[in-house]
Amino acid sequence: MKVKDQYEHRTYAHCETGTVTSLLRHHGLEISEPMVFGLASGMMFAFLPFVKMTGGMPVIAYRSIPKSIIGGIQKRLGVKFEVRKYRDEVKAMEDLSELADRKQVVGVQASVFWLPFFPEEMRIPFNAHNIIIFGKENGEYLVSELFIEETTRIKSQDLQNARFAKGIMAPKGFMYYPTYIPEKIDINSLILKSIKRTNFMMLSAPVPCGVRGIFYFANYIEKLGGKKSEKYIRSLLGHIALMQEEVGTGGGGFRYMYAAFLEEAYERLEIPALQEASRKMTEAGNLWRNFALACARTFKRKDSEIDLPLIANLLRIAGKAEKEVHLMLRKIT
Amino acid sequence: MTTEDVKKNQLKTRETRWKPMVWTIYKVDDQGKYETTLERYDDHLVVTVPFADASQEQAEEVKQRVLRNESSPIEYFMYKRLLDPKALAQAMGVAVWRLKRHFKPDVFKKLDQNKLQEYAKIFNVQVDDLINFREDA
Repeated sequence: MKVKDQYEHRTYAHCETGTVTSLLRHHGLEISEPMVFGLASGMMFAFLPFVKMTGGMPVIAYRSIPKSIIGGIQKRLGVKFEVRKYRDEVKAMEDLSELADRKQVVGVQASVFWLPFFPEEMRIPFNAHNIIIFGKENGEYLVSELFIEETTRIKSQDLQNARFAKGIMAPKGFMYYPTYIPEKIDINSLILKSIKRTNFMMLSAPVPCGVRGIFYFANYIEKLGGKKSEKYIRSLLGHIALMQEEVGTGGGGFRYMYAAFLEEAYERLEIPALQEASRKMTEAGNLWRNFALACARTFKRKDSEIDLPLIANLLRIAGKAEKEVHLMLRKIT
Repeated sequence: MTTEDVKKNQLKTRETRWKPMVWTIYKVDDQGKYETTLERYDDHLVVTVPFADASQEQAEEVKQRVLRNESSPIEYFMYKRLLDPKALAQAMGVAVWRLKRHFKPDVFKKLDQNKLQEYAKIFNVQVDDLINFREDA
């Protein structure tokens, strides 16, 4: 492993793929964020109306479950990460401090609620956020946060609170850094395998996951009218826009990022179908974005009419376009 | 504690607070190649903010009830800090029904120092602010 002397901060679209990409780059493996996302088969869809988040909102996921990127990339590339979890808060902070003194750059799971460098409106109780700690200065940790253009800092006590927030997906001091990267990695030979896996997950997964989940979600939205209060429906639509566009998905609920991955795959493998698939996935991303915009509009304008069939249809169109891309990719994998 | 930092932060306008925030979006350029663009507060959707505002409005409603002695500062600060009963109960490590009991003024007055301290830590206020209900704490 050729570890770089200086840590280079950059913004990324998504926290987990971002930290993993950044850590790999720092340890000498030049790789792009979409490539990490694609190789770890990060794309997914799941709508779980029976699992409630804060505010009684259902879980809507556009990606595979948290930590699957760290796991997936190790399996695919043969890289190894040191992964640690703690019960003892003091020990967890001591270990991190020691790593920082050794100039080890570390990925850390943190709860957004406890991170003071975020605007107060953003500090919701979401536990599965990831940041990078790349040093220590005057008792403060140096933070590389993918949502902020400059690097920032955090006090030890705040970081401890963030690392040991309670609740769903509690971080439990989770931290990780690469310890081994193979001399030669043949990324090209891994691409089709990864696409195949995403394909399988999107096309074969039962309701409420994968492509079937998208249509189930559309039906669910359409049937909301009359069942729930207007206030709830508006909040739910806002929540959809939030999950899809605002929590760091690279736009269109990761669909743009996947299209970027397909584009890079085409450049490496020169299979024309990959380029076509990338273009179609971009279109699908645009359709997803239209859907989110319609949701956001209805949420923000309290006096507007709620046209659920229209919104559900926008989602169906996006789902259909995406399904076609996966069917097309199935033929070449 | 970062109470000071947070206070400093709150004094700034919303635009200044959100200025450093960027969303990295993958977009196609003229040549059909993918590149990243940064979206900022002005041009991004930002649905987070209305959600936060709704929670603040709820806090204001609760404030009136606290002043009429119908609820406790716990409920007020819960909404003020963008939490809901479920999230706060999880952060405290108690069941929701126990948390909701603490919304009753009589029960709140009998809370021991340790519990108050835990609440104060989550809300980023002093215990005294809870007991004497300083709403801007």
